[in-house]
Amino acid sequence: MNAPDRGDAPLSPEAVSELRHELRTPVNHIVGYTEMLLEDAPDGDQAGKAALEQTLVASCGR
Amino acid sequence: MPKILLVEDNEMNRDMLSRRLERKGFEVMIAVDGRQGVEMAKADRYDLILMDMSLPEIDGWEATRQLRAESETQKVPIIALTAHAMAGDRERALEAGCDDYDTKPIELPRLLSKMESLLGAEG
Repeated sequence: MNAPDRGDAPLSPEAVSELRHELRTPVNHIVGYTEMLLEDAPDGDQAGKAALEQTLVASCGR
Repeated sequence: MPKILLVEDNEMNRDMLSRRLERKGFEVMIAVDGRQGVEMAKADRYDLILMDMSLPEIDGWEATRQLRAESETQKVPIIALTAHAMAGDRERALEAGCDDYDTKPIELPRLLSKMESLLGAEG
């Protein structure tokens, strides 16, 4: 993989992993809480469920 | 009701995972860092420990080694949780004494199946 040359030293794998973690954590919270809301959604509430499904798709493609 | 010790420093992860596990019929106790996790595991009997590996005070790797070194906590099943999914994490976790390994984001059905197989094996 060619990182864009910004005149900086390339990020170490540890730094990339840390950055990924920092970015993923809040997304994981959105996904997890959305899944909990889906579990709670009444069967009749199709519109509500669809909106929650949409949140999951937008958050992480799941 | 299986009694789980969840060792996790991130408040939202802790809240979310403990509530989801409670809904599935587990009793969940919480430790917020590795030191507290080790103390709680030694003080009480748990059916299984979910151990985040990136923890303040002492990390999950060291906490697991300490638990494996004590006779009363030597055999309690431990599942390591990491967010990094770095190559070699699984091997490192098993080497440290964990029985299994899972990555975040938590996929609940996947984690539950790992938990159930360890809880079943314990009899």
